[in-house]
Amino acid sequence: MDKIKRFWLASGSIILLNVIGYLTLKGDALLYFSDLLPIICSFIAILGLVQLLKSFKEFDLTKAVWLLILVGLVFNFLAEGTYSFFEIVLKKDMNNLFPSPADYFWFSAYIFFFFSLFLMLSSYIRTGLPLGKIRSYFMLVIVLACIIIVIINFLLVPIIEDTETSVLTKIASIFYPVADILIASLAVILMYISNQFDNKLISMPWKVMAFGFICFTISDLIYSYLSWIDKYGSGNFIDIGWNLGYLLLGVSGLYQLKLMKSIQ
Amino acid sequence: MAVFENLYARKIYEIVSPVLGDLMTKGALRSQCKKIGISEESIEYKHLNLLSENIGKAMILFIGSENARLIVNKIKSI
Repeated sequence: MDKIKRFWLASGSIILLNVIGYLTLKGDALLYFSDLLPIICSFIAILGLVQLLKSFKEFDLTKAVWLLILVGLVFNFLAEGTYSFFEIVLKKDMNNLFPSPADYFWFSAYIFFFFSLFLMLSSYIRTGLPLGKIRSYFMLVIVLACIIIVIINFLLVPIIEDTETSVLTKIASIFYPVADILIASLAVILMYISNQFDNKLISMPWKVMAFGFICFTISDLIYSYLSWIDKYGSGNFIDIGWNLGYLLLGVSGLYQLKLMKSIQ
Repeated sequence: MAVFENLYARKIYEIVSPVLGDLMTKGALRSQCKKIGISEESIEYKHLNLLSENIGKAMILFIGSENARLIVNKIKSI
């Protein structure tokens, strides 16, 4: 069994464990489980990307793109660790501590992810390779516009108009959906572009990575809403989106490694 | 499948398509030929150097510079 298959198997087992844990555990056990699992998943993702980056002999554009993803993941790992430390060790109610120190790590992670995807897309455009059909981009714009309108109406406007929420909390609550839409848009475009490649080896790293970011986005958007109405707590099933997102980013690195080894 | 009449276009296609696939290889050839003011069917031996370097640059994003250089060298050695 090759490395990627083992990684998929391990990822599937972790997600299954995640579901079973959330269905069966209660109280402190659920708290520890839900706080520690994202740390493990983000660490596994870091390992996947470190393996890829070790294989580069030169610092080039490809390495820069993947290095930015790795730095973003390290910030996510730090965020997950900080979140757990505050909740488990310091016994803080994280719903009342928003934005928490962990959120600043998550904010930083977004910046690196954004630059990585932006660098990928802008570099791709410069290659002169086919971008796809204009009609598809038109459809994408329409779908995104609909999603943005829904998010503005049902999430951003209520948060802005809420008089009980502090300015800092409002900024932090708005940052997540806005950054998510940006990241998800870039990820969807990359996914569309990668679909044009006949060679699965080339398209898989981009597809899997884009799907990972989409998982983050879905979970983040639901989290922003739940957090704002004080309904987010340990063991919420939206955590699976983040854990799966981490694992997908890790496996995307392994697909890139496989692609590069296939040519040598 | 490649449908190029031009020998060099056909050879470049044979080298690049296992990596990029049919559609992208044709797209890469078209765009890089356009950049140097020729068409795929008018590639001559003297164009290979510049053409291979440009195709290599386009491939770096996917396969890294080391692997792209391997492809460039293969095209240059046609």
